[in-house]
Amino acid sequence: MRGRGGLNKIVVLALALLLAMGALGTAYGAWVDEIYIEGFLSTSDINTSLACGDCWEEVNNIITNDTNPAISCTGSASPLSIEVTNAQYNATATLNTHYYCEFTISNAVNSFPVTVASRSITGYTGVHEEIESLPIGTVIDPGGSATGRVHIYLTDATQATKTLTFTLTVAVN
Amino acid sequence: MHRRSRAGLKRIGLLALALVIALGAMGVAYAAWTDELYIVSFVATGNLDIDVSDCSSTFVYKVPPGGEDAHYFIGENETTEVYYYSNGTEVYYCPGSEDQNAPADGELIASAVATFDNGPTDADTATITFSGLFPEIDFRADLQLEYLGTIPTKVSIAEIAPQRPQDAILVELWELGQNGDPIKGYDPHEYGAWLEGELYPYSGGHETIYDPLGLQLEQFDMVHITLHVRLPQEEAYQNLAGLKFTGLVTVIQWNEYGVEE
Repeated sequence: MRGRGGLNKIVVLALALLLAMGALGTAYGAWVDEIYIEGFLSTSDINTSLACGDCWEEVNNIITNDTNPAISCTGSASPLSIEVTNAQYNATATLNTHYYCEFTISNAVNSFPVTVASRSITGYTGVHEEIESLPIGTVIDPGGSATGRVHIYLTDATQATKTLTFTLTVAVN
Repeated sequence: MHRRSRAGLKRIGLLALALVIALGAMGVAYAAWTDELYIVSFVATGNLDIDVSDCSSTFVYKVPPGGEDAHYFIGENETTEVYYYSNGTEVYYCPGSEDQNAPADGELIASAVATFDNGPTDADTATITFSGLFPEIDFRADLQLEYLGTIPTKVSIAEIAPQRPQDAILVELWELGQNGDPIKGYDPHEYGAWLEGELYPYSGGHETIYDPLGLQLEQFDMVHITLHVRLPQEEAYQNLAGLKFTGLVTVIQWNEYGVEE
């Protein structure tokens, strides 16, 4: 007796239920809101290099040897090694030998500006060693460079004729 | 037959005519006994809608060194906060995603830039980009969220996390920001990454948000979120590139918060 008529009613009812549930789902979704945040982070790179430059000898402020000086510099990064072989001393200041080496600190293009935070050179008794130019606080821009100079001479005969090795360190931040 | 037929037809015609007139009269009378009432109704439902309504960013410049350290405000309505350091660093905390008051003699070195897009759908998005960070500067990117919905809401999700395994160093930064490092003498919120939140109710005043979960918002209330990143002088954080993180803030109707589905 229920036959086809009853089945039709059930199908219609199920369809209505489905539609109602769909509508309910849409409504539920509308009651939540959200904010999505995307984040990216990169940090800078301090990419500096330290390199040896020219070395030479002077007596009384005149270059006496810049082709094969007794002072040499080696290394391609901090610290650099500076060596004076057969160091000469003369008690007469105008005849005393002064040894010089230049060095260059370079800042890579993709780096960010750096400041010379410290620079130092090891020492010996009876030897004057000094870093000239390149003061602390010098700013080196990306792609830029700055040059310093090491100045060494004996102040007495303690180290005369010896081979002296110095370590030059430069730090930036 | 023929005569009778014509007379019969006449009678039927009269009858029909009378019927039509009677029906017409009845119709008029019927209309007179009817009245109508029109009801116009409007239905409006409430809504939930939280948007990003503003942002601010950090720009760090290299400027000629010298002078003395200083802290001052510039720009229209003094909206830009500036820190000048004698070592040649100038830090600008400014509204929006661009610096309208950049120093003429400055070179942009690093930044934390926030942008946002409130699209037509619920999927509002904000982007925070920290670029070229270096130690000691407090890089800040702010988002201002405004609740525009008509029914009260509560924050049900508030999370921020690295996106990929290779971004795990961000977790270190986050933990450093939350807990500090007693061994190195760092306090929480001194170095690393951390969030600060402030609630600005529409009714006035403001209060610090310590736990965003369950925070109830009424219409036009605003929430100010600041993401800080301040790197310590440590080699591990140098030259990090392309790190990604995501954040999500979800609000639901207040009386559904904490209700298990």
